[in-house]
Amino acid sequence: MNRNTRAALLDARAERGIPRGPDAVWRAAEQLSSEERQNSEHRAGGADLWSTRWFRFAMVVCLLGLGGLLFQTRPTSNDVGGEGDSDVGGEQQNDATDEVPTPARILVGDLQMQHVQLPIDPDAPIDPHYIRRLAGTETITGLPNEGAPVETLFFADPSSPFTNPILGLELLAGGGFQPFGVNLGGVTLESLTEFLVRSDGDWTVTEESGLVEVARFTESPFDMLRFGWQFDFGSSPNQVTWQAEPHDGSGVWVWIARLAGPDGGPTSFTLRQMEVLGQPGLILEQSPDAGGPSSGFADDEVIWVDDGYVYRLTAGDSFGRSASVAAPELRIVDAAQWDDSMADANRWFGAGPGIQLDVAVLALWLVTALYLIIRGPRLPLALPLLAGALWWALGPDLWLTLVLVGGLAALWWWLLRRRQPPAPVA
Amino acid sequence: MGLAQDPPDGRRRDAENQFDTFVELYPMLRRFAAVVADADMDPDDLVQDALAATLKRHELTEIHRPGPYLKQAIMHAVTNQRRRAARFRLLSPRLRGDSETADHYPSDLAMLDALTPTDRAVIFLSDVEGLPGAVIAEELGLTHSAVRKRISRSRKQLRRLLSETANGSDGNDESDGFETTNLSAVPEEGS
Repeated sequence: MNRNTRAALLDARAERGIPRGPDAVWRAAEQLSSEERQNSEHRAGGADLWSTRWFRFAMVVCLLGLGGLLFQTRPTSNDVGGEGDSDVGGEQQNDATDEVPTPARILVGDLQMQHVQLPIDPDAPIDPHYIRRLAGTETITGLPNEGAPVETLFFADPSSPFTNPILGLELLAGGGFQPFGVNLGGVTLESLTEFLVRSDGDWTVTEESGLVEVARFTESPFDMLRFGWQFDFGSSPNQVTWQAEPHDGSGVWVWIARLAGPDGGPTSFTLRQMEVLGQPGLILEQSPDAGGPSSGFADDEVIWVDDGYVYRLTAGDSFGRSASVAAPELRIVDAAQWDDSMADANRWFGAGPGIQLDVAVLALWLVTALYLIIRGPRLPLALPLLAGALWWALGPDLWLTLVLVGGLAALWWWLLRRRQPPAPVA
Repeated sequence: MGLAQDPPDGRRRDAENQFDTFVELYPMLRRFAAVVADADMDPDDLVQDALAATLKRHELTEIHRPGPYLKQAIMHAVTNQRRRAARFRLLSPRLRGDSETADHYPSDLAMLDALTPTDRAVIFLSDVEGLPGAVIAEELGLTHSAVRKRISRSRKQLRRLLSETANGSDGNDESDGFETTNLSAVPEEGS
């Protein structure tokens, strides 16, 4: 192949086809570049928004909120229920919580364990959210320091304390007192309080009342709450939850005080005895005319003591499964079954508190993102509704608020980005 | 001429200058694109894509040497199209028709498809445009030694392919009639 032949070959290749001409090519290229430039300027409009101070602030807020949520949901212990052969875990120890015995491994019928809250630190301050779940925020935080209960006394029939009227008395900081009654039946609280006598600074009841002091705490029943376990089965509202709290001798009285005490919710409770997992237990049942459930659950709760723990069982009532109905479904399982249930709970909701919140937030933003893609312009209307619904469902939470605010900002940015007029060509 | 409608005078002048520049470059660019493009690519499409990509970022008149710049843009456009075509073939081999693999330019011209676009560009600029290796390297963004190697390798490959074709054609009555004689016997330049 000589040079000329090769050149001829290449030259022939260079002349292939029918040229469209510079005019047509220029026009098409100019239009193409103009369209592409316009598209990129749409994006540049959004990028400009990114540079605005408020938007960057919102993004930081959102990230902070997400970080807080993740920190909140980080599990601190995974060993619940013990690893030994005993059915009840009270005697068992583990490395992570050497000083903390573990409660029994209890499953509820065929319901799936979906959420687990483990004790974090026995010396940690009480988690206000936890208290709110137990007895309602208002009843705790609404108390002035001076009026906080510092001592609680129970007077009852010594032969059958849980079947006859019980008179409770909270002694408040500052010298005040508040009586409350359980199982009042035909008597009134006022008539019972007439038997109260203060002698040498101490409170007692007269002999004709037929009551004797059966329990006494020297601190607020809520302050006695330090840590505990909580396991949720099923999904809300058809949910059954049991909690375990190390027992310091106060027995079920501490829960009666928390739930039926003057600052613990409705004052009209009746007690019914019930055997739970072979142990004597109590059903705390609200009277029909009571002021409403104390914890958002059904109108009864089951409490029992077993091997150093006070257990409390509550249930959602949407499907008629109150705590007293669910209690016979409780079963103590071996370690393998328990571990399987824990693994399920971990798989779907994580082992820490508030994981469900993460899931809810994630679901919210996935839904809104899809909505944005499909319906775009109507998103601003849907977002506040969704955020409001989540807020209502989960209650005020700082981190969630931060996530919502930041997320809203992000989505507004996206909308504005799409609507930003093209920037002038430089 | 396809310029923007009623732009301000300054912009219109700029656009006209750009267009004039392109008109001057078009024949050279079109020939270059025709060589480096694969057989199934339209040279004008490549020039158009390269020009659009350039205009998106720069005005043609503000580029110091628009010719080499656009040549490199054409090379990029070829690479992009080949990549897209490869993905398409990979994803839907059944959709690939014969037209994609058919010999659009049979005989000697089709031999050039055996070379890579860069090799075709190098040998075209060298043997047809007569540019020295250093200039080719600069225009295509290659090193001088890479250009030398590509020229040598491409010539050898072409010689071998044409030789095979010529040998096959000798005893083949279904020859397409294109001239394939004396190509394989021609000694390499400089040898």
